[in-house]
Amino acid sequence: MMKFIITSLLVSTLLFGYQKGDMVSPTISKKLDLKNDKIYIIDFFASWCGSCKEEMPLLIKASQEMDKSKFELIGVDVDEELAKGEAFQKELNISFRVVNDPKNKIIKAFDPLGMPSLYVIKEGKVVDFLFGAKDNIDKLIADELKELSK
Amino acid sequence: MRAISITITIALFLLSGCGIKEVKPWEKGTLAKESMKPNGGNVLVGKFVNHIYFSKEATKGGGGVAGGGCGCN
Amino acid sequence: MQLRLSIITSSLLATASLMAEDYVSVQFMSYDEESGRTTISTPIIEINKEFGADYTLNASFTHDTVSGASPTYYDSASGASAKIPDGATYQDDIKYGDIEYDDTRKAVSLALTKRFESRDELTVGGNYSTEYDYDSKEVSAEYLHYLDSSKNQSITIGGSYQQNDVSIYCKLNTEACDSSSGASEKIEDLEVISTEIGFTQILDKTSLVKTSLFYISEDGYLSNPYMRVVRDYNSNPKITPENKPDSRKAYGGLIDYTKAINDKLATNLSYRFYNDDWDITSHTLDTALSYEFTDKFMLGVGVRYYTQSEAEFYNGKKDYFTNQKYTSSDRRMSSFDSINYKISGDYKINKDISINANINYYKQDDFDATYWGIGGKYRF
Repeated sequence: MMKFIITSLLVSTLLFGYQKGDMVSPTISKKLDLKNDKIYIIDFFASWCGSCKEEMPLLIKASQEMDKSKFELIGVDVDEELAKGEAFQKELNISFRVVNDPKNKIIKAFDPLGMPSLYVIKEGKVVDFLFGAKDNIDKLIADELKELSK
Repeated sequence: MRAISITITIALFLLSGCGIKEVKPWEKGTLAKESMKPNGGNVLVGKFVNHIYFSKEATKGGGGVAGGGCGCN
Repeated sequence: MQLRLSIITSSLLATASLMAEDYVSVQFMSYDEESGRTTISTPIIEINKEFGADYTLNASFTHDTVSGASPTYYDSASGASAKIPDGATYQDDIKYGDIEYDDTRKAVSLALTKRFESRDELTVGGNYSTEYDYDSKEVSAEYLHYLDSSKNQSITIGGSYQQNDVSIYCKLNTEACDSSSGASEKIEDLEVISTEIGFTQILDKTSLVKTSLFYISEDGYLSNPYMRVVRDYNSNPKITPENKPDSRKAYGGLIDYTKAINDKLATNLSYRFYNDDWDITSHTLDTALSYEFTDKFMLGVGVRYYTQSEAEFYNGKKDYFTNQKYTSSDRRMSSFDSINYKISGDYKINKDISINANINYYKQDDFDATYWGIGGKYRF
């Protein structure tokens, strides 16, 4: 019975992606180069996503303003055509680290409900997420990181 | 009436999700392309063309409710 | 003459699916019928602006100039113009031909979209247009609701109310005016209420389908004050204004399928059915292909086939009408087929600026026309 419950829970996690409290798998952690001594904001975006483009200047600003010894904003570009993704990153002058995910393996593990999407990871665990574009995203991020630092 | 019934049936079939694969938010790159939009994304051309049809033919409808009026029909 | 073009504002179902972006778009379009019978020039400007993540404002303005002629019955002894008093005439003097007109029209439209936490959308809009004998005001609202968390299914419900004022010049239409009042003009009302419910389903990564049902109710002055019929041709011929019913109820359905065949080629197929209580039924089949030659250049081609049945009160013959209440010889009320061919091109000069051009050939049973457009879009 226990085996069945555990299997169901594992399967449900696979089906629905990372939820709050879930540990990021070692494979994904390695792809994103996550360390336990920092809090990460993972931003999933694509060149065809209009809201992602709208939000990007504020994310760049948030990344530049955060204390890089404690926090890091990592972009994950899910464009299937790598060249398109790289051209988009250059066009927007993205200054934070971007991991290209053309085969969508990273985003499949997270399985967000919308684009763009932000995940907050602390000590290898998903502690919060946000789907869809938001006004004042830089302030929302600053407030979130301040709260997590307490 | 038959055409209406067929339209409703197709809509209900689609609503039930029968045989339709879920498309994840990050898999919508192709659907977001300009070529997938009416008139290649050129809204003004679509409006002009539809208005010619409205002026020269007796029927209208099916393209959204906001149209604006004119003394052209 | 009231056979002219005007801008139509947002096709709201299409707007809901558009990627959010700020842009200014300018188009110049021109329409020419065979033998230069009708010529229309239409510059249009459109602005689309995002305000944060939740609001979009769209505005457009157009200024049509129209000149040409439209066919109807007239008394050739009086100078080949419908702009003369109606009345008795001689059989030999009754002709069917082009009556000249020219006019300008200005129209403005606004639409505001609000996106909610769930990303459902509400769009409210207004339209106003004015020409020398016709004013139109419209308000509309449309709500888009996503039925699933992945936003693969959505339902859209919309409605609009339009209030139109039609000017009838008493000199041209003595039957419509009260001769004792001495008025030179009479204003007639026309109200139009439109409703539509639509359903969109993403089928897979490369295709989607939309279905919709619509209902349109028109009440008021639906005739064209410049169109004429002949009554009692065989006994006491008279040229009189047409008289269409003052009410029209219509319904219909639409199905639209879009598919990306491969990385470069996409196709669209749609079918629309229409029926109303004037006994008019129509079928419209529209097909289009888009091909991306390069990242910068896209070519589009399309064909539209249309067929309609005639209105129950229509007859094009001069010796048909006697004392019937409702009458029209307006050929747009007749049964006919039409076909439209189009080619278009879109070229991205850089990430912010693109230019486009299109040319169309339209043919009905007894006339044809070409219309073309050029334009540009600046994304900011």
